[in-house]
Amino acid sequence: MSDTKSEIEGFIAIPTTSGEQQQQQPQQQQNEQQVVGTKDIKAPDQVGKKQRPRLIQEKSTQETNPLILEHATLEWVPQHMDKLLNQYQECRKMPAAEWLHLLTYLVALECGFVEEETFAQKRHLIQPVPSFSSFHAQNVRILSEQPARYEVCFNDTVYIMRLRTLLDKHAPEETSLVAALQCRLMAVSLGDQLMITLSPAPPSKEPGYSVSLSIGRYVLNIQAKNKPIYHRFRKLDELSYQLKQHLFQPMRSQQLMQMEMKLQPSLLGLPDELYFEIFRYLDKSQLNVVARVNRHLHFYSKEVERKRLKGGRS
Amino acid sequence: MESGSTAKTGDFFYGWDLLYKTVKADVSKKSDLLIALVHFLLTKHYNFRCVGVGDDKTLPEEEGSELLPDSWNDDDTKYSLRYVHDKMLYLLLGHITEGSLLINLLDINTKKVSNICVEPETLVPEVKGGITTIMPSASEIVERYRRELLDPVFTGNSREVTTQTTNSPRPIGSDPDPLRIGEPRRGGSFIPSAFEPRPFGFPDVGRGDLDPLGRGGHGNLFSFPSRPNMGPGPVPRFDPFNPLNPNRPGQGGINPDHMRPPDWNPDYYM
Repeated sequence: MSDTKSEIEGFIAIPTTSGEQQQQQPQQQQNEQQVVGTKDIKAPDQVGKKQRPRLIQEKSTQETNPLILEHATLEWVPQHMDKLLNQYQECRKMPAAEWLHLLTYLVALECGFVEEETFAQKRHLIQPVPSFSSFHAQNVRILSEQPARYEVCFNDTVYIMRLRTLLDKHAPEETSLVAALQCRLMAVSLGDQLMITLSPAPPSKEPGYSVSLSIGRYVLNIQAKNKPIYHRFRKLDELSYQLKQHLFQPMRSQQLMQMEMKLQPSLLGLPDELYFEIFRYLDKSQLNVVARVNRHLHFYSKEVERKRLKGGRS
Repeated sequence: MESGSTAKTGDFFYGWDLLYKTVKADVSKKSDLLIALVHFLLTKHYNFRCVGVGDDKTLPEEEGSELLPDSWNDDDTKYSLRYVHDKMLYLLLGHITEGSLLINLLDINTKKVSNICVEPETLVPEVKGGITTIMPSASEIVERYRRELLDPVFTGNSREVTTQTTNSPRPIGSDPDPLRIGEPRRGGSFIPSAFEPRPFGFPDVGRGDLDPLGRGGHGNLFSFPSRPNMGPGPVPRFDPFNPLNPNRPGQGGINPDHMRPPDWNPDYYM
């Protein structure tokens, strides 16, 4: 009953080189236009003043580079959003529910999730994500360059995507623990509502999380000509909050707790080498104080002392 | 402990056999039984009523049924059932993907939605037999249903823990006073049937002496000698037909010594 989205296969088959060349030309033209515009705007008597142009450039840089979906506007959208949506330029007649599903995937990327098949292909390029954080700009940008892989089934009313939570490089690779990081994103279209469920992969008995969104509230049915697709999207800050608050953050926290990871930034949960870099500045009495905090810090502080006794770094 | 648990399980699943027999012929896969168990929980313990299949969000006018509707499991991979509770519509949706069953319960009014993911192959060993044969861990499944599916969406209480109350007024005499001996003694027993009811609610002994109209019975202790059998009507204190003659001995009733003697002339000087 389930079919893979045919448009995705079409996008995958597009030659990368020609795509990059085509994309580069508009960017170069835009840059040239910007340069020309800048030259035209400057007055002859202001040629010598360099500070003012820099301020203008800085301001324009901030406005043109929103980092996450929550800060997107009609004029400027995050790079990962632009990259992902560009792959669907020829699918403007896609249902509004499907567009909302893609927006959900973008929020998932921002929260430290990745589609499983994409993770398998781009694993060597993906950077570790600490347990007390979720957003990694480079990872999000790399993953958004790949098309979203999902199934459309149940008479084109359900969109299913398999996700995985990103961790740091010290994450274990046992099968059971890897399974704990996997989950399934299912979006069911119910007329004007999109019911989104994020549930752990079976046979886990941990609870899943659901939210029901009004499609028309976030995706307009009207598409203006010669306008980018993201002009159809509204209230992206509210959408981002709803998805993060009710789906992705609870699920990520649940998975990290299963892995016995630390959720808040603190002295705990750091890479091993950082402990040695920090504790090398402590004397023996201070190390003894740290050793009494818990078993974790006791281990590292004793290791530092042992290295000192052996003539290690001082 | 075991007997108590068995009794509790038996009481909780009382009625499941009847529901199972009504859909036994339609059951074709293990996930059907998991959906039927959700239906059983909703209808018996939460007083939901099923109003049909589909995902229509219009509140129907019919009251619904305790039974599963026709064509409830015609789709091999999807379930859509509509329920009504307290004039609110709920959708129960089930999707089979990758060997697991994802069930959602949606409150149409508040847009609250819950979910639970179960594995039919693991939870349902058999499709025929009693509840313990079909689903050995039925109690645990129901507990998961309640915790993950019902509680996030439905704010009401299960029928099992709700105390039944009635607003009907207590009928008169339903709680007799044990200190009371017989019916309370009330007025009326001393009122003669020939006279109108007493106006003051007290026994009418001597009432006639106080009432100038003579209501409440005889005014005098003895009847008048001239009218011993006087008929109904007001009883005057004096005989209107034969007024007393003060000059006649025995009828005056009043001592005449203080009155002036007849032909008394106080002028002694003439």
